[in-house]
Amino acid sequence: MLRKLNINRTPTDNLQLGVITAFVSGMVNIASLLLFFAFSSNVTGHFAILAAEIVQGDWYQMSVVFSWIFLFMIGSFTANFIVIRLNKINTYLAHALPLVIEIICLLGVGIYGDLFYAETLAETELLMSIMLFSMGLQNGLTASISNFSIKTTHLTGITTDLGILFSMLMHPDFKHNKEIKIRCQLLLSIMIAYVTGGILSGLCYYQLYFKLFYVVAVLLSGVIAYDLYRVRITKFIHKRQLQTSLNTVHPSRSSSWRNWSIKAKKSLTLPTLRDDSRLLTQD
Amino acid sequence: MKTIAIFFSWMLLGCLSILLMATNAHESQNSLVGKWTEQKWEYETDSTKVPLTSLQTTQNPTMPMQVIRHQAEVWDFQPNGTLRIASALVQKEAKWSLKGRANVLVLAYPDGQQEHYQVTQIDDKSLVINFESQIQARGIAKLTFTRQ
Repeated sequence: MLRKLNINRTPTDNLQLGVITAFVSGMVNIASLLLFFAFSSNVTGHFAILAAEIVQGDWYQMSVVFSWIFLFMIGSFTANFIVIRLNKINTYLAHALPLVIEIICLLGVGIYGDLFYAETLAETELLMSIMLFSMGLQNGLTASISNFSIKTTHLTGITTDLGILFSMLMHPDFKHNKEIKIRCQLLLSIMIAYVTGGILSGLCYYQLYFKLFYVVAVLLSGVIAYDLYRVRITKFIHKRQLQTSLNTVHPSRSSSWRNWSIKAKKSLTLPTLRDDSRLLTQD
Repeated sequence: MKTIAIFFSWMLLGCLSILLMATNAHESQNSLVGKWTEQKWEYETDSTKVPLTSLQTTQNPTMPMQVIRHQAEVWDFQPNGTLRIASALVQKEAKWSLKGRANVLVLAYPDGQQEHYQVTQIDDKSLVINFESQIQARGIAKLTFTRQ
């Protein structure tokens, strides 16, 4: 889910990531609606409210809505900033870090709400801000690593895309197009996951209240842990394959693989150093 | 170095907007504190919009069951989150809080019952709230108060 970037991603990678994050978004959105009477994952409505508040001249409410929109955008900015900066160092880390920040944010909301929330307006708006920031992070991450093919915190674009894709499937030229069918499957799955998350959140709300965020944190931690496990497995398999291939090429060195690899590293480094010194003397 | 500076300036802007919001929130919440006398209680969906005075009772078939009718009451919003509702017939207490972007007034009664109102208008002299039946739609019952 988090190990690959853009063109290297398979439809299954996108489907897994899309479904889980959409489920989380649905849960968070309904939790925020029931707890704070405001949406935290879809920003379009906030833009409409912003326009209405400007017309009415209510500067306080306008500033609140503007801050929420801005924080959603900062979340998205942060996610993409981390992805493009750390991607060359470690792809998994670059993709997992925004999720880790999101988990910290949502856990923070859950713990604060569970233990300290006194229902003041300042607290409500602060917690909403954190939730919008975390949803921005999630949306930015999923969009960034999937080459903008999946966005999981709102369904406007998905509903539009599905409408277009369904109309294409009605046409004889595209009827058997595999790519369109895969895309339809992906978008439908995201939509269903979002709604299911919302329903589950609504059903569990009266029992869990702020503890809902612990469930969300566990789900997101599952994504990170699953991918970490896959990264480790892949590394292990790769290492074993390399060792086996080396053993077949150099059977005499099979008993001292570690020594051989150190020697090999030295033999690769020395000429480079010599080349560098030669370059220095020439200068 | 430049990119890190850009990143932190964005973060700083975000923090500033949160700070600004939290500071103003206190002010917004305080604007409700005080005693408010109920003047009108009307159905907004009714085309005739007949105002109901204190002791008038009108049966409306479209009225949701969960609506509690408040008649000629004085609502005393205290800074500690307690609301004292008083009239010739009723004396009760509830917890009040503002939610959303200060647009939703939530009243929680000791028996677990809750009422949600949309704050339609608030200024120094008057307060207008609508009973909220749905989050996206304005409620049908409109209550108008004046500050005592």
